Amino acid sequence: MDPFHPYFGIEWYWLLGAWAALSIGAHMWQVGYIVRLIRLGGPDDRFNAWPVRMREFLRDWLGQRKVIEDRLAGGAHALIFWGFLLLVSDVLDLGTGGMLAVFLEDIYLKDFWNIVVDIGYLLAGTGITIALYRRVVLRPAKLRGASIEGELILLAIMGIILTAFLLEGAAMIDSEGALAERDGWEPVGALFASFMINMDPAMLQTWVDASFWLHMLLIGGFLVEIPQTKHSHLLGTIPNVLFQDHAPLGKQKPLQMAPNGLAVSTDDLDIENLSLGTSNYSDFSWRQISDGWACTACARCQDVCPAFASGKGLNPMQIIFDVKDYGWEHGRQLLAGETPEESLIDRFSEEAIWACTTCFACVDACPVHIEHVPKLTDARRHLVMEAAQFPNELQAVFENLERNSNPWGFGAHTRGDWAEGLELKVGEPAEYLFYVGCAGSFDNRNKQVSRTLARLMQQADVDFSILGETEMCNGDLARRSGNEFLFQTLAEMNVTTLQEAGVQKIVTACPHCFHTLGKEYGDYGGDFEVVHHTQLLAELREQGKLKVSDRDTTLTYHDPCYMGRIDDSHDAPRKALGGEILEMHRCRDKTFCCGAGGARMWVEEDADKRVNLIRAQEALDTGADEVGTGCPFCMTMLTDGMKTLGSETQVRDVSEIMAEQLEA
Amino acid sequence: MDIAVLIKIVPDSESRLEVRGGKLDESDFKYMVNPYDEFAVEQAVQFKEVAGGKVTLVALFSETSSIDTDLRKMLAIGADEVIVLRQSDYRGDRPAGNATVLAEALKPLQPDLVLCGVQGIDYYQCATGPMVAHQLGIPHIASVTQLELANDKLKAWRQVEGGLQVIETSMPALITCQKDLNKVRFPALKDIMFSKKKPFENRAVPAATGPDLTCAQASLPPARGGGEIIDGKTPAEKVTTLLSKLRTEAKVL
Amino acid sequence: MSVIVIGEVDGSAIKPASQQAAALATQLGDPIGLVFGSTNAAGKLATPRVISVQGTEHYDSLQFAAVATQVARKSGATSVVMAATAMGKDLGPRLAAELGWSYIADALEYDSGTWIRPNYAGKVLARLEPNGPFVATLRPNAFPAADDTAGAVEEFSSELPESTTVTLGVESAGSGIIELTEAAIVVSGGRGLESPENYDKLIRPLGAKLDAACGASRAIVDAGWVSHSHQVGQTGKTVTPELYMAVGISGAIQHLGGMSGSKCIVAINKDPDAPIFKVADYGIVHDLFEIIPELMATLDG
Repeated sequence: MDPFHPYFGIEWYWLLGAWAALSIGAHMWQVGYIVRLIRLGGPDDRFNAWPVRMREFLRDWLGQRKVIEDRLAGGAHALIFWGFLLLVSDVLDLGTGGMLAVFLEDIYLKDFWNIVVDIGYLLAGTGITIALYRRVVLRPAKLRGASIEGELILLAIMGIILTAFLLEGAAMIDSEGALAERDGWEPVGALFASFMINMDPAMLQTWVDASFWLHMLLIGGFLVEIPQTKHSHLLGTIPNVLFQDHAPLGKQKPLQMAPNGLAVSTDDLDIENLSLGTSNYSDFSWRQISDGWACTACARCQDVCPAFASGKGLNPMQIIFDVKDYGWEHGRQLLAGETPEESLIDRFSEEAIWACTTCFACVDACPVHIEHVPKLTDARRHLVMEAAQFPNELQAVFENLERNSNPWGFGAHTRGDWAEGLELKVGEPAEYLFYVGCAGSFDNRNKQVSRTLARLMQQADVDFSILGETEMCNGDLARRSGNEFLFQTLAEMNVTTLQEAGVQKIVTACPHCFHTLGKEYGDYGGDFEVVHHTQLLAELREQGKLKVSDRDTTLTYHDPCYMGRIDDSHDAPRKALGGEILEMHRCRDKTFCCGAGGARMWVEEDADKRVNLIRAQEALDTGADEVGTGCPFCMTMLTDGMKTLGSETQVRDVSEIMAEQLEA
Repeated sequence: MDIAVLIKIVPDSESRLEVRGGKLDESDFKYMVNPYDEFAVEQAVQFKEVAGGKVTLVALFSETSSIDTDLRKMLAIGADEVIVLRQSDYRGDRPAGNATVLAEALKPLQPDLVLCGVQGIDYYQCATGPMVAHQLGIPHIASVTQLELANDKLKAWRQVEGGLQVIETSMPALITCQKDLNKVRFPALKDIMFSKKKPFENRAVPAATGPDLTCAQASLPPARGGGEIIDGKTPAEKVTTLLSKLRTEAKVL
Repeated sequence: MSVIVIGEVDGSAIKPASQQAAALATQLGDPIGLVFGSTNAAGKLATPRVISVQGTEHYDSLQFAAVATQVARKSGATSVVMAATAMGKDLGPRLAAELGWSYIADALEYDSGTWIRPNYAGKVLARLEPNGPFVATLRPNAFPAADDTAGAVEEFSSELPESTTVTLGVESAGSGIIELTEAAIVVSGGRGLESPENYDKLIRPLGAKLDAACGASRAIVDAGWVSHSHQVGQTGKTVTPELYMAVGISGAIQHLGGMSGSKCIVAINKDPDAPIFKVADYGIVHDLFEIIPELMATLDG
């Protein structure tokens, strides 16, 4: 029994054709609109490394690699997705009145195709059931307040699946209601058929007709709705995953690149004609805009965001919604080349823009490679360099960096004073340059760490020297807060200093220095091999150059964002520390930010919105005797956090913990 | 309303201070715009935004060019032009001589209002402003923390012991600016670049003359040694010991 | 050779800083006192003669400078001294310009024709040796004071010059608030207080008990806990009290610049490594939240 007959005197294929034209037309028109909006965006050349990209696409899109990191929701989605891929050709068969099956039969593939489609519908159906169970029965906290759209879509897809099975089963029943053929390659269809025999044939025909049109209506409806809802990810994830960022995580781009692959120097920058950061829609790159349509509203970014967790006005998922919504709302004006009164920055809100710590947890968590952070840091560039609108506290910081190359404004000539009495090589050639950084040079607590590290390196006979007075802030703070020009000025000066000193290998105790010197200075001609001190210490311990006995205390280690997640290196500190480590739930590459990044260290926080308190409490909850870390800012934030929580638990650097366990 | 702002170029407050042979070694000094003069620039621009007119910056410095970027930042705040008086033997501790040179440059400008910082962070003499006012024959109000323009008069709140003296004056007048007068805005990078187009004049001026005294000898103050950390097992013990020492030893209570 | 001593009146007394100027003036020549304002208090200025200028309730730079110039020229003086108060720092340079004399600001020491004044916020000391007439202002409390006298007072004989400015009034910071730069004892609070409420709970009452002025480090002024008029330090006020108590202040170099001239410095801070202990005469390394209440209780008893 099939639905392929005239209705109200009109052949079914005319009716279907009309609906198809309508729904496909609406779909294509919207997709075209979206593509035009995306093309308003600036250039971003990712049309390279095709073999790598194909591999990544297969792994991440087809293989759903990041999606299934969430076992339940991700697993359900994978089933629906793979099921969908397997079943999608069925609409061609149904829509042509079975002509696809006939064609496949001729090339002996029909049975194989049948079973594939059945498996597809089954997988999808299983996935939908699990997803519905999660939404309706389990009701996880993060879904609270979510609209009913989610359930409706799931039920609609289920509708497509069930009607498909019904049609499949009905096709096995003849016009009298008896089983006409038993197709062993369509087991589920056969199952459905077994319930439908002995039904009144006229009634069954009605069910078949209704199922067919419901099936087609739902599919057509989906086509219309896909570009508008979070279902746009069906389309958007393809360019997103295919054109994922190949630059190291967290690396920002210079203001302008020269043909030789390096940044245009500050002297040559045509500032007056250059767009500094992003304020208009078209200042964003096409890839930053297409993110808006790749988002599935899975809220994993929201779940891991420290700003969101501490109640600040930043929700990374909302930022992506804003990109999409703004495009839809102001599309007509934008495509006409006009500038809407409301800018995209207005939509994000300045509060959200400044709340970000650049910890990149959102980018790391996103299954479809959306890049949240660069939208915020690019907006910061505009706010700082063009609009001069930024938190007051940063004004003094910028002036201090300009004048004395450190954020606190201490005299630049006192930078080397921390090393008094240690008899270190200053400005002389050596195997390693120990790049101390601002905190290690000027902050009392962190000066202790610098001294401890220096002594450990001396003990292990590491050949190193420091720059002393000529060392300058690496500029990370300026860059993350949007003062790109100041950053580049510092970077260029530092590169010159380092090159003139013949530096090749750098060891640093600050993850921000590690990141900037190692991954970002290359754009300015500075190619250095940079190691973090925990990496060097681990090596020295392993090689026996530092004999360290194991602690008899328990310890929890807080991975700094720029090491654990952004560099994905978290083995070294544990090897360096040895002994029993009680891990926090969010550790290693899933570490939770201390709250200092993105220049937040210098910006006031409301008392009830402190990121560092959240993390300090997590550390305390492990029950460990003390807390270890490998970053001067994490050190400050966690120490402050412990004090505020009223705890006496010590926070110490890896080098300090090792030094205590040093065998004589 | 045309406003002239006097800008002093001073050594960076964090500069290393070393005395050799009775003279301060100034060779390594980096220079910057006197922070108190920045309040003056900001105030001038705020008045211009309300009352219109031109804001001219007048700076006096040696022939070194290293402060041009800092002056452009001042232009970027909103001033219209800068005149840099270049003097080969410029010194910051010659208020009378400097005031003469500055006044000469101001006279042709005929400003309605002259603004400058209350003091320079090099010598803290609070002298140049009043001396320039004398040379111009105009009244001055010093150490002002609030300034209002109403009709053609200026109302100024001058810092005195225990409060603020509220003074009204007509113009032309000279006001020296104290901290708290305003918050100096941070110029956007584009404004700094754009200010490269604003008039920037370097003008040679004659050597300093006048009754200023030269420093016969510079020295570093004796280092103040650390004293005694009070012992005690309880807060009560420590407090009692401290009070007794303050009464009997130091005799300050 | 005469020396004009310009003295300031505070209510019915002469400011101690003016008596310090009067005492020093005896080393420079024959002192002639000049006081703007009250005839009653004017006589207390420790100079043999005092000229009192009536009709000058508030400071007026042009008027005062004109009067002082007249007095100086008429008496053939070769120097003028006064305290480096708000008025002194304002009148001093204008007067020097009007007279065409050298100017010595904020002097710390004087000995036989040689003056010492602070440069770079006191980080460098400069020696000045005037060989002509000069106007000098003296840092309050840097010189010993003379006692009040009951000398003869003459009224300023000439007409007061016209004034071009009008004082509309004086807004006081609040009754009972002792001026930082004039106080004999200063109690200052810093970041260690942890919250603005604690400044009012601990510093102000302690200040009241000690009859002291209340100061603050730049950190808490910038944070908005107290107004800038409380700030002690490089960009705030320089104080020279007999006793300076730094509570919860770490002792950054900028703060030290404002109080290192204090006769006796006491530091209370729970961080034994705080730089303030390097300049304090007495230090208590202890939680200030335990020490200050204890201190107030003991002072009561």
